[in-house]
Amino acid sequence: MTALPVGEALARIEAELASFWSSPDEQAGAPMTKVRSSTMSFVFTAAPSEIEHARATTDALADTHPGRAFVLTSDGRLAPWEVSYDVRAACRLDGGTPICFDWIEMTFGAMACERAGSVVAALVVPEVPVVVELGRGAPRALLPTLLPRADRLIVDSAHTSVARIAEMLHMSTAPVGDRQFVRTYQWRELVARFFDDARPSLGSIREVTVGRTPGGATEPAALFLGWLGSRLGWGFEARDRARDRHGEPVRITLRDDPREGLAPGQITGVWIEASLEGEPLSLACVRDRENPKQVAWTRRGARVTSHEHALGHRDEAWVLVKALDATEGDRVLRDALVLAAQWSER
Amino acid sequence: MSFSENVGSGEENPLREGMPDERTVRPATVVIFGASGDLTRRKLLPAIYNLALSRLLPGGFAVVGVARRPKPEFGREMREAVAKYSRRKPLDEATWSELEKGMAYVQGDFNDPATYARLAAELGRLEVERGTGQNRVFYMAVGPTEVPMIVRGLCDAKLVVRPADGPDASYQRVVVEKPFGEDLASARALNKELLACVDERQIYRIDHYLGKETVQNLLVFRFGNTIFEPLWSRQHVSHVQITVAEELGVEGRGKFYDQTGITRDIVQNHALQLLTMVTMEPPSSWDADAVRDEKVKVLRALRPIRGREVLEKTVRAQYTAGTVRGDRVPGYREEPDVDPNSKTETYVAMSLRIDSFRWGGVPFYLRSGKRLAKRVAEVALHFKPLPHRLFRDAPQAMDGGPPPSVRRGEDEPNVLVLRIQPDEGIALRFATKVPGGGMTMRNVAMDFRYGTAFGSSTPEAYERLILDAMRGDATLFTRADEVEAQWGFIDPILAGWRDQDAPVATYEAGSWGPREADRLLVPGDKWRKP
Ligand SMILES: NC(=O)c1ccc[n+]([C@@H]2O[C@H](COP(=O)([O-])OP(=O)(O)OC[C@H]3O[C@@H](n4cnc5c(N)ncnc54)[C@H](OP(=O)(O)O)[C@@H]3O)[C@@H](O)[C@H]2O)c1
Repeated sequence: MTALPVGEALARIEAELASFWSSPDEQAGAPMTKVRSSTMSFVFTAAPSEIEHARATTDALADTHPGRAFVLTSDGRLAPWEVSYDVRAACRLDGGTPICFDWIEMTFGAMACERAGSVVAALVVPEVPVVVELGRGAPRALLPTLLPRADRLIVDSAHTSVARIAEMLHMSTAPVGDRQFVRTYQWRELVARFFDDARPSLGSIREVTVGRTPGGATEPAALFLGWLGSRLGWGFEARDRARDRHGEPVRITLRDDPREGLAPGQITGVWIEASLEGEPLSLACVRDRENPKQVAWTRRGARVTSHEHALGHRDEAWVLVKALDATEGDRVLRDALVLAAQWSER
Repeated sequence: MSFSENVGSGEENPLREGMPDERTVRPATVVIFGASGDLTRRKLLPAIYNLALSRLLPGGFAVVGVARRPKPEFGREMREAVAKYSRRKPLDEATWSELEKGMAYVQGDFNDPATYARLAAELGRLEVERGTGQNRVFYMAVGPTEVPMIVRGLCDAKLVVRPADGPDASYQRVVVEKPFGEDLASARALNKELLACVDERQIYRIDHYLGKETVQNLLVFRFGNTIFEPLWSRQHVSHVQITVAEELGVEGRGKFYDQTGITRDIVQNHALQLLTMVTMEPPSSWDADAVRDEKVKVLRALRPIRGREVLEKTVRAQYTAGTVRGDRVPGYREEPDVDPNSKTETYVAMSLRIDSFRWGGVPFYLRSGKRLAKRVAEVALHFKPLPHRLFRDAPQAMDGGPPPSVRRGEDEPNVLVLRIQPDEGIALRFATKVPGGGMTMRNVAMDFRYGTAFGSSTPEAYERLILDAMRGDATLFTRADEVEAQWGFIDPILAGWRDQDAPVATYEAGSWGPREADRLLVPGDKWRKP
């Protein structure tokens, strides 16, 4: 990668892409016109140390969401107004037609960061959305110019605090997908299931306890409580106290629950105390001690049921696809993030 | 905030808001009748496994197979089948073993009441162990003659009861495979038998074409975009061609095939489904009855082909020996178990009319055949020619040389092709200017392929359909009146062939069908070679 002033680098990138797209593909023996298939421009920004990871992400995405991928970072060692870049392109044969994709990697010098948005604007594929993902350690200097260009933002509250995400929500009106919200889907689903046939008890929740393995980069309970509270119209008065929509108090407890074989910052259980038709109702959804991929789901008191559930594992490619596509939860996530940030500030 | 309004009101669970509704399937048991058969092995279990892998199955879930043969190793056999036929490989052990825990097999004859008693006992056990309650989907992976017997057995054993209302009431549903009858009378009789003990709302008649992503996409293409629907009528469309072509022959099923023929096997169901999806009016909502009402209206507007009309408006044919994809293949009458004097059609072509404001006067050419040049299913809308060909007799070339030639075939009207399989996608043919002086035109195709935009591993039709049956969404299933309307259109054609002793044309295997099919076309139209 050679470093060049931004304008010059942009011109060279355009020339390289043009020469790739205008030359035929020779894989099938005879030269064939390349076909572009575009669902979006995907812009991944992260710390320089995350570039390998970013490549893996964008490569995997080419199968399900082809388009143009950008990997952007910044590096203080470059001359301030320069960028270094790399352009890659590849084709695969689909029913005899070469379907091609391209990737653009750029590292911006400190001052050049503010031009990243305009570079992206010049290079994005027309007519399809621009998705911006904020990877680990995404350079702050890139965000003010990138976020306003985004049609969808992807964040990960497992490494970016909800407070910081809420701040970014102010910089962009784009809908947000959160990888961590996808990963923890099953917890929300299992909790929702407690109430499917006991809906009135949602108005009588008096205590919520969230267990998690200690040492996570961010607080995993925040998003969960933000979700639960925003669905039920709660306000948080303190980290350990909420008021439900009737003004009744709800006690919040966080429990450190170290588990061997489980990474830090993982939810280990959710316990809820409520009542139904005047009778107490105790709900628990807790990871098994021996097999942390299994949860025991139990209801005692006014309803008595118990099941075992496998939590299963999903790879990150799948998590990203869901964060991109599962837009039906966008509003719920935004509400959850806003309330989670409020809870964190208490 | 509106979402908090219904907290505790006993209505929707507000915690479910924003969750994909396909996931909110209530716990249930799927009971497969005919579980030792081919369909179960090749399609049903792989579909159920893929649903589990996509985490679309409910927490409480069980599968019970029922068939005549003893199957002491049902779980292991199904595991092998799934490993072989699943669209996603290799088999995910954790997912499979979770699924297998809720799997059971009941051996017995369908006409023996003891079979249902054993099934009831097994269900009783699983429903407690797996927490599935009495929610049951009975899947009939058997021929149509077995279905009434099974449904009667289920009703007598009270394993199926008429649905009670209320959000938490348990449900029992019956999924019936194609073919649904072999003519109008048998389809009616089958409907009558079914309705004697279950409600129409409990019956899910499968046409797996409707489970295909690309078939559903026909409706999204038409009703989810603004620019196509205005063109979708007699004002702009000159004719429509629907092709469902196979390369395969009868594949060892000569005996079955010789009694069936392609009209019953493909046209009555799949091809007519394509026709209705392409021609129906927009439904008022994506609701099972709203959609099916519109489909039935089209079937009712199909102009019947009766008596001598079959000779003019249809062509039936059989393949003779030929070459398909480089392999020599025998003719139909030489296939094992086929009557050497058979009149059963392996190809049919029809010229259809829909008597409606939208489609009056537009010919619909429909054809389906075995051993054709290529496996393809598509719908092609051919648009009307230009009212005035501005560029046809283009002026002298700029440099004063001879007028640019417009080669034949290069100023043809626009065509929009909706490809169902393979290479699912959409192609639009339109004219462009050839670069250089003058105004020479050339047709080019703008081609969109789903596989490249969404990855190639899209869900199989059976995944969608099994899940929909569990969710109680019947939109993609055929309703009783719909199936009867389909047969109501097909029956007179079959009768006409018989009564008029309609000739059986021949075509060489590997070709695009018999020459006789050309006479169905309005002069100037040509069959496509997709
Ligand atoms: N195969 C496919 O890909 C496919 C595709 C579309 C539609 N279909 C339709 O699906 C249905 C089933 O097809 P298939 O190919 O799976 O058929 P199949 O292989 O012949 O299987 C029939 C099944 O029914 C059982 N059975 C039949 N009569 C029985 C009786 N009196 N008592 C107990 N069990 C009985 C058989 O059990 P035993 O063998 O143990 O006796 C076997 O499990 C048919 O209507 C077919 O048209 C099949």
